[in-house]
Amino acid sequence: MIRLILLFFFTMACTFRIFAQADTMKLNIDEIIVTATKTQRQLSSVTVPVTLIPKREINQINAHRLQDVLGEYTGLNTTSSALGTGIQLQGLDPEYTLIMVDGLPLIGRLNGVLDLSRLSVSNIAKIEVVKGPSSALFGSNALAGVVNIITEKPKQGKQFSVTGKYSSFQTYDFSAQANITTKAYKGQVSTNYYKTGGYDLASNYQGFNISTDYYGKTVSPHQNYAINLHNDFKLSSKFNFILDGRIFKETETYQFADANKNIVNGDGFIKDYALTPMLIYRLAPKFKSTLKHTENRYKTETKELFATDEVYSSSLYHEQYSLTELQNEFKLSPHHEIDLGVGYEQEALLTTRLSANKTFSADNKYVYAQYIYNRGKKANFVLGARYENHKNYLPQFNPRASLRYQLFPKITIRASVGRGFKKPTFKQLFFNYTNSAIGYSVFGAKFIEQGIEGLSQKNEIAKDPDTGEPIVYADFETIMNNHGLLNAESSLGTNLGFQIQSFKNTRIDINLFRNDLQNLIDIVPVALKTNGWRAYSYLNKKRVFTQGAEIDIKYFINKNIKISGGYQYLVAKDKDVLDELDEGKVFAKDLASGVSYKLKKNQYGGLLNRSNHTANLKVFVSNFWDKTAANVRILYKGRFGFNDYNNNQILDIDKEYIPGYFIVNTGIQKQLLDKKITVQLGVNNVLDFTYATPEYTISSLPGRIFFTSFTFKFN
Amino acid sequence: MKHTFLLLVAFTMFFASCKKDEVITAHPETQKITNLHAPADVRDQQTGEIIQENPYIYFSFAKADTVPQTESWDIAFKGTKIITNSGVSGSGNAKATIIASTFDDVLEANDADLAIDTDTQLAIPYGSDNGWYHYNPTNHLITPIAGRVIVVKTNDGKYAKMEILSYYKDAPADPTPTTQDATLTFNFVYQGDGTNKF
Repeated sequence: MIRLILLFFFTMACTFRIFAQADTMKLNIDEIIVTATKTQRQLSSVTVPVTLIPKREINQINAHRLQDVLGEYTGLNTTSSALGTGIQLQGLDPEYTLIMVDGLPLIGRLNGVLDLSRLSVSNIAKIEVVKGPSSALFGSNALAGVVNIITEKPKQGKQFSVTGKYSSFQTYDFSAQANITTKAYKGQVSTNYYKTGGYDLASNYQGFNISTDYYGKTVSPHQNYAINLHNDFKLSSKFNFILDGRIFKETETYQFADANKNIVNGDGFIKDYALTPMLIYRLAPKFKSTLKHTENRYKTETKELFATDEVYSSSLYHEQYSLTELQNEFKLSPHHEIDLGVGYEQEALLTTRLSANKTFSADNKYVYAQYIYNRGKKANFVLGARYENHKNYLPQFNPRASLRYQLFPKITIRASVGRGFKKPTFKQLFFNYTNSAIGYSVFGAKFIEQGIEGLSQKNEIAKDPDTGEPIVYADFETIMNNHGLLNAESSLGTNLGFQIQSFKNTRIDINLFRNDLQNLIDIVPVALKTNGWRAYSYLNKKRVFTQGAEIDIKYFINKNIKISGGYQYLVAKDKDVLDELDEGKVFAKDLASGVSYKLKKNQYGGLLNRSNHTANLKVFVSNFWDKTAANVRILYKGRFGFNDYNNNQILDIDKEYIPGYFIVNTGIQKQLLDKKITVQLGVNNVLDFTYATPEYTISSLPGRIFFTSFTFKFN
Repeated sequence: MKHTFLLLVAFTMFFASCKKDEVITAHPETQKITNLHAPADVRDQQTGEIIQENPYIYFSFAKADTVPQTESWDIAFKGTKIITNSGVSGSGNAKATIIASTFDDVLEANDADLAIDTDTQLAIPYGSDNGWYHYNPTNHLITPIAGRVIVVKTNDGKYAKMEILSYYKDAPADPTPTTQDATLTFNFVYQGDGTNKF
C-alpha cells in the first residue's frame, strides 16, 4: 500500500513537469463496424442497436480484463458467479449472448457462461456489441446480442509498444506488441502476461469461523498469458491470405474445505488455442469473397487433493470446435448489396461432468443470405435469414429485418425485428448424474430412458402401491414421446430506437427493446426415487420476456470536456409464473409467523439477477492543467434479486434482494515525449464498496483499487 | 372532510353489522402447537444406516396434544416424516392429503382427496418438494413449502386441517443449521361437529 502511494506521487511529480499534447475528443467519428451485417458498414448507416467501444476509450480507464470495460457501458451489465463473469444484454443471461473474437465464436462456456476474464484488453482494437437477436447471421447463442472483439491489426511501418500495469491485490499486467508492414506482408504479434494475488471477501462475514466454514479465497491467485498472431499476405492485387493464431493459458491454485472441514488443495488450468487461415478474393468494388477455416481447442482440468495427497476429485473438460465458411458479397449497385454465406461446423466434447470416457460430437450445416438497401444517410434497410441443420435439434430458420430512416435532419429512427435461438447443450441431452451425497439424479433428455431404466433395475424408483408401476411424472412421458429430442430455445426480439442530434454537441440515443423467449429448457422432475428424492431431466418448458429502455446522452461542453450519461430500465419476468399468479396458485410464507398467503401479481419481482435500474455518469476532461486528461465515472446498479428465500421459487420479498450500489472510478492520464510515453494512475471503486454475506457475495468487487500504468511506444 | 369520514364510519358499521347477522355457523377456532419435538432416526453419515432409532410422536387433533400410541391417534411425526393412522402405519381409520392453498382458503374437506398410508406412498408424501417441505442441500435447512395445507380425516371420523409453520425450535424467522430441528410448530383447525366444513 505504501509502495503504491509513493509510486503515485512519484509519477505525478514526473508527469506535470513535462509538456505534452493530449488528444481532443470529437462527437461524430464515423467508425466502420462489421458485426451488424458481417460486412463493413459505416456506424451511421447501421440499422440495429450497436455499442461501439473504441480503443481510445479502453485506454482511458484502468482495465485488465474484458469485464472491466464492458461493465461501464449502458445496457452491458456484467454478472459474476462461481462460473465466472458473464454479460447480461437486454436482461438475458450470459448464455444468450454470443462472444466472438474477430467474428469467430469463443468456446469453453461453463454452464453457459463464457468467463470474460479469460480475455485481456491489451490487444483489443475495438469492441462491437450488437443488441437484439443476431442469429440471422451468427446462429446459436445470439439471442440477446453479440459481442465481437476486434483485435489490433498492423498499422503502417514498424511499431513496437510495451505496457506495464500494477494494481492493488498484487495484480501485474504486462503486454507487448510489435508489428511490421511491407508491400506484400503485414504482421503483428501481441503478448500479455497477467498475474493476480486474488482476494478473500468471506473474512467480512459476521459470526462465522472463516478458517473452517469458508476456507479459501473468493478469487484465488491465478496467472495467465496470451499470444496473438496476425499475418496478412498480399498474394496478388486480388488475393489476400490471412493466418491468425492465438494461445491462452491460465493456471490457478486454490484451497477450500470439504463438508467434513478437511482442507482440499486444488490445481487447475485452462488452455485455449485457435488457428484460423483465411483467403480473401476481391474484385473491387463489385465482389468480395472470403473463405475461412478455424480450429479451436479449449481444455480445462482440475485436480483436488487432501493434505494427505489423497484425491478429493479431478475433472477434465475438453472442447473442440471447427468451422469452414464461405461468404460472398455482391455489390449490385451503390444502393443494393447481396451477401450469401454457407458454412459447416463441427463440435466435440469430452468431459468427466458428462461421461468419463465418451466424446460427444455433432455437426451443423448452414446457409445465410442478406439483402442490403443503402441510401446513405437517408435510409437503410437490411433483410436477412439463416437456415441451419444441426445433428442435435430441429432445423432452425432465423430471419431478421431492420431499417434505419432519417425522419428529420436531426432525428433518425431505427427499428428491427428478428428471431434468435440457442441450441440445447450436450449436458441437457446426455447428462448422467446421481448425487451420491444427497441422492437425487439428473439425466439428459436423450439419456432419460436408459437412466430411469438403470434406476428401476436397482429398485431405486418408487412404485405406485395400487398398480405396482414406477412413479413417474407427466414430464417423463412428454420427454419420452419426443424421443429425447430437445428443441432449440428461441426468441423474438424487437428494437425501436431514436437518435437525436442537436446543438451540434449533444447526441441522444434511445432504444426500446422487447424479447419474448419460448421453449426455454428447464430442469423438471421426472420420477420419484425410493429414497424420497427425485430424478430430473430437461424439457422445453419455460417462457419469459424481457423489456425495457436504454437512453444514452453525450454532451460535449467544449472540445475538451465530455459528459455522458446512460440509463437502462429493465423488466424481466417468467410468463408461466405470471399465469400462475393470475390463477392464484402462488403462495409465500410470512417469515415471522410462518403463515402462508396468496401472492399478488405486483409482489412478483421477476427473474433473479436483474436490476430494474442501472445507470452511469461519466466526465472526461482532456487538455487541462498542463495538458493532462482525467476522468470520473459513476456507475449505479439498482437492487436485484439473488435467491429465493421463502421457498416459493420466485422473487417476492425484500430479503431476496441485494440493495443497489454505486461504484466510482477515476483516472488521470498524461502523454509525454511526443506521445511515446503514456502514464496513467487512479483509483477504482473509490467508495471501497464490497458486498459479502454468507448468502450472497459480489465476487467481482474486492474493494478500492489503486492502479498505475506505463506505456512506451516506438514508431 | 370530517363529515365524509363520519359517513364512512357509519357505512362501514352498517355493512359490518349486516354481515354479522348472516353468519350462521361459527368457524371452529384455529389452535397452535409449538415445539413438538419428534427427532428423526440417527443415521451414519457415511453408510446411511440407522444407528439409533427414535419413536414416532403421536398426535390427536381432538385432544390437541400428543398421545401414547395406545390411544386414538390421527397422525404421527418423526423428523420430516408424517404418518397417518391407517394402512401400513396404523390400525386406525385416519386419512390425509396435502392441498395447495392458504390455510384460511381451505373451507371444506373432500373425502375423495384423502388417502391412506401404503408401503410405497404415504398419504402425506415425504421427501423434499414431494410433500410439505423443501430441503436446501446448500445450507441443509428444512423449510415448509408456502401454501401447503394438510387435510386430515381423524381416527374418530372428524375433519381437521393444519399448516406447518416451522421445523425449528421456537419457529425463528432465520433458523441456522445449529438451531434444534425436528421441532414442529403448526396451526390447525379441528371441526368437532362432524361436518367437513371449516
